[in-house]
Amino acid sequence: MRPLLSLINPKYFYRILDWQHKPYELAGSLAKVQEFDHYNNLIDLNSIFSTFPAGDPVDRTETVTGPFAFAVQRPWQPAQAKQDFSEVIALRVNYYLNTGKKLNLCWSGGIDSTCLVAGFLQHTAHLDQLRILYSPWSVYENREFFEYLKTNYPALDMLDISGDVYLETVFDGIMINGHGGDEFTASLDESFFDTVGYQGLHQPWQSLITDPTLQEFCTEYFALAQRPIDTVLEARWWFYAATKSQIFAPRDSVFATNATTSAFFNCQEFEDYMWHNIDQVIDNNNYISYKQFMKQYIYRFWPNDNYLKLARKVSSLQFVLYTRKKTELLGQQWIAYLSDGTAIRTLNLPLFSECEFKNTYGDSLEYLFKYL
Amino acid sequence: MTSGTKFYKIKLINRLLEHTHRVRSQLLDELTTNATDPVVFKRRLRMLRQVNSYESQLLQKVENFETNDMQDLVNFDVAPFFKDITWRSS
Repeated sequence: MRPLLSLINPKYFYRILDWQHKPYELAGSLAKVQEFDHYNNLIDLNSIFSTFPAGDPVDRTETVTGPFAFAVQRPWQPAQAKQDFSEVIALRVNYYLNTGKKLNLCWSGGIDSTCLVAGFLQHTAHLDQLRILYSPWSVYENREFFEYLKTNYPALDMLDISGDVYLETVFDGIMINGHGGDEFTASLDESFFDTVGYQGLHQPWQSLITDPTLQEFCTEYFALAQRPIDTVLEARWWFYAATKSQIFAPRDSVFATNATTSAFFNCQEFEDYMWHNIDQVIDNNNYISYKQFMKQYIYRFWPNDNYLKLARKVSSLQFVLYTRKKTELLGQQWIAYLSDGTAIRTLNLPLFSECEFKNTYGDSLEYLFKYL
Repeated sequence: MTSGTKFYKIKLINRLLEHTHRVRSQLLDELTTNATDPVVFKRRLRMLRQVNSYESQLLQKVENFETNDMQDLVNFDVAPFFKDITWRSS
């Protein structure tokens, strides 16, 4: 069985379509490819939810055929167990602890990563299994939590990865990040919230998705959630959970040359929790209440009133910027990652040509393009 | 490789050198302006070192690059190559 795609870099990957004379048009950074109408519907839907769609949709229901052969890492299945959020965290933490490996917790200072650090510190018997990776921007984002850790957990291994450290260190064990925390909570960015408002989130989804053809597609696609999808918020939750939760490759971080990268919230337990509790995505008409249930969980570990009342979701891009920089400096640019972790790359990236691609791969990757 | 390809490679190399000159000058200015701040000073020095090594890496790649379409060489915009390594916050 040949490995399928795990992640593609649109900057290079779509140029292959030009060489194959396959017509496409861009929406954000995504390609709508001729003859893949249902897949293009997903991109149209993405364009409604986001001003600049990025990250190719990978349909976890496996009902929509796209132009590229992606491997679905975790096919969609309807929710089973109904558990408390604290039980979900405990299950997830114990899963990692039982590996016996060193656990590198990527703490950006945001809500998701603070939540996972709080979970690990509550359930870990041996602190030496943990290592917190942070940067000055993590401290900038959540200084009080940083000081709380320093004061109350002096034995905890905390490593500032800025400067030369992220460029030169090869980590072992598992790199655990907060990915999935957005995708399974409707990926509700502030600009979308400002546009539709709290009331708008609870309007029928047909008020936002007005195109009849798209409505027809959505009616069928939303039924696959096997729970009612009536409102804009539910539609948004389903879209991101079903198609956008797999946007990170198994080795999306070059910190992790010898380590596995794992997304803490990209798991069945958390997905099930949100399936039952979409109403918890946001509490009221103030954007600060987005992910309030996570902040309440953090509060039980670290009772900080200011954080509970005032912390808001921000996009923490520091680790992404570090990763990109290290990728460039090491000459490890990539065209795509396959599901077995191998990178598709040509020798002289970022200079990319048909000639170099053919010289490197010939026709051996044609199976990744479904229209060929 | 044809002589035509080499000509376009020289054009690309010129653009690359002009751009790295601009990037380097700006970093040197910032380094001078922030000479009393040891953290910024160290970061700018590190960035200058990285720009140098990245520049030589790119020059080597341009030299080795093979294409059957001259537009590949005409169209490359060199500024994005440096975007990821000159973020002021990384």
